[in-house]
Amino acid sequence: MSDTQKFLTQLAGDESARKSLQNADDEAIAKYAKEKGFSIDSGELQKMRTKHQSSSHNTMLGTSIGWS
Amino acid sequence: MYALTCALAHLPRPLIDEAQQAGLRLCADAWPGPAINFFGFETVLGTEAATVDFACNLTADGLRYVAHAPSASPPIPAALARLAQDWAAAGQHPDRERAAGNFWLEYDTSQPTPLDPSAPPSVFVALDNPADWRTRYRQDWLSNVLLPGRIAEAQRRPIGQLLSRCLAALPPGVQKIQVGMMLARPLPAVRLCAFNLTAADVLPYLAAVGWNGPEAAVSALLDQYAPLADSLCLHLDIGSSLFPTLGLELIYEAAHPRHWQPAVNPRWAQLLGRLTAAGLCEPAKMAALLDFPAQVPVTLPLIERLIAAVQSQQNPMADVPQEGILTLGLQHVKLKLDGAGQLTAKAYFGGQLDPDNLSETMAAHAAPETFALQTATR
Repeated sequence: MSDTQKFLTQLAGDESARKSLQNADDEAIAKYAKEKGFSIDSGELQKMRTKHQSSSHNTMLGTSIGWS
Repeated sequence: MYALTCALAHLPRPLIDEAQQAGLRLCADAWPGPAINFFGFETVLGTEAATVDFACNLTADGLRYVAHAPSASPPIPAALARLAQDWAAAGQHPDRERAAGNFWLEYDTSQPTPLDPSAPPSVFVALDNPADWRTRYRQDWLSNVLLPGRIAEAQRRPIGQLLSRCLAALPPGVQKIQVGMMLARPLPAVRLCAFNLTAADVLPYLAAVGWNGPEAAVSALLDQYAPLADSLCLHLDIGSSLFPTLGLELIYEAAHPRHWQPAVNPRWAQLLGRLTAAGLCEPAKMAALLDFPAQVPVTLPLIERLIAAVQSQQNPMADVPQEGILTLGLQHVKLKLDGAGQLTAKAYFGGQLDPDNLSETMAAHAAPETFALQTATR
């Protein structure tokens, strides 16, 4: 697990830290991570954000079902 | 199911009340987003009750999850897991790739009793290749997969035979069918739904399969409502004999759902207006439905997107929040005829959270002639 993953996994369980970063950009998040001892940079975060593109299409539109 | 959670915030009061919201949140919590392809809602139009039933369609991962997830929380109902295992069984389905996307779950969330996600829902499976039901072999295959374990042995043979007869008699234009089973109810019957029918197909088909319901009421229903649809989907309940009831879905056909929404298809207003005039639709529900289609941007703080990204990497079935465009729209109306010829009307509507399409949809959204849904930020 990379430092970025470790940092974000830890953050997932830290509600107050999470809240304090609600308005943070890549740079501010990377800076906060460094203060906590994690070695990540804003470029890595940006790449990760781009990578998280789901292909789910949660819709009923265009389909039909025989409801009771 | 994060997308359902988003959609719930945009269902107006005439369609859903607070108690129903709570029931649907249980569904949202019970199903991880990656397990679900599609979801939608059903409302009975002729009542003020702000209640909906809920249905969702499984992804390939979702079908595997249902069939083989002993540690799922809440637990997958055993009857549902067995059916999913049978449906997905290697070498059994005529087309294994399509088997996954053709598996639907339906929850009676409109019932006054609290929803129990550990109780089995109703299940509908779809076949969208006529070769799958045109031959005796395929008809027997369908009965052999669906009926064992769901229908008592003594009733299995007559139901299977009647199902085969109904499949064999389908008009040549039918390109898709569904078969439904109420796993939670001790009902010795299955439901057959046949799509792509024309008004002229319906009465001859009913005569061919020996349906003994109120034929004159069907004829009147076709005269009055079929001209307001592009095609019809007929629902028949099959026990050891055919039930004298039926359902008729009024379907709009277009390359994309946006092309049949009320903003571009005036037949929605005509259809709902006609149902309202006949006392089959509450005016408040008609207004709420016509106003329902919308596009709503869903945005998240950067930190939440990053945490979601890492959670998805660690667990592909994690139900993580996503950004995207939430598109809300109408699907179809169904008319249900009871054995005495009394009509009930229901409307079906749904939503799509499309994270891939954010920029594309926003661009299309700037061109009303190609994307005519109403914009909203409600």
